[in-house]
Amino acid sequence: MISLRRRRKIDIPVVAMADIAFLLLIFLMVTSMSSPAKSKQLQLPLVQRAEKVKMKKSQDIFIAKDGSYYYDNKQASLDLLEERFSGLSEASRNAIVFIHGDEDTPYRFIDGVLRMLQDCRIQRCVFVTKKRDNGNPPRESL
Amino acid sequence: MIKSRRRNAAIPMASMSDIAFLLIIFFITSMSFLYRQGLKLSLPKRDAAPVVMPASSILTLALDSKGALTKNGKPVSLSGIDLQKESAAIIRVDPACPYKYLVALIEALQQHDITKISVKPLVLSFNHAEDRYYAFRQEGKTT
Repeated sequence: MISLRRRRKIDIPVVAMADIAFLLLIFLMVTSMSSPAKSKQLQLPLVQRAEKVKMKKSQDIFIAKDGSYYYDNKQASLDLLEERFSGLSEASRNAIVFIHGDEDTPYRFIDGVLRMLQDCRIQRCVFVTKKRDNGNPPRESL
Repeated sequence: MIKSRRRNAAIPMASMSDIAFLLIIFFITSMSFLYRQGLKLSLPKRDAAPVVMPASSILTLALDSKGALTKNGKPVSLSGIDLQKESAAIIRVDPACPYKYLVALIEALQQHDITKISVKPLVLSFNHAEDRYYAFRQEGKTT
């Protein structure tokens, strides 16, 4: 008896594989660009209407609930921040500082940053907020 | 004679359009990371001259350590801020007041077209001895 062996030709779909590889690449790139506030577990204050501000020539300061400051992914003191920001206004007149404060941060820590920015002659800054949507309950009445 | 053998070069249009769409999606999603949303502030210069305004045009509010809002010592709600002809506001904030209450108040004032806001700490310490004046700027409006 002669057994008829039929060998199937293995065909790797290179085009489809390239598609999937690109999809994965884009997925990884998008997920790696998550919000920096999220990565620091900050709950940003909720607002109904917020302005969109372009992140051009911008710097970010993060203020945690306990009053600790973060700059460039490292914890920093106000003195260190002042040192970093002192030349910023001279370098660029349009320098803008985004302040990411946790909604429960005591005001004195926010005030400390604003004073430091004034000392550094920086005039443009933004209180970074989160837009309230249907999933976020309205703020308890003041 | 030499025969040239030309390979039939077929461009896979279907997969090319797939990749083109993927790139479009990528650029659209990455564009959203170029913006941040929030309340824009324009801080005054340290050596700026004080702004003089008639007392009748200034709304004076206070936020205590728990975020309770008062106007002239009487408790009010955010929606209950009654505006007559005030065009500027002074907010006295307790240093322990959670930041969210200040943001909510500034947003409410901006909705009432009050963009000149002075924020003063309620309890003055040696660090907070001088008055602060923040002018909050809305798009298209100058302070």
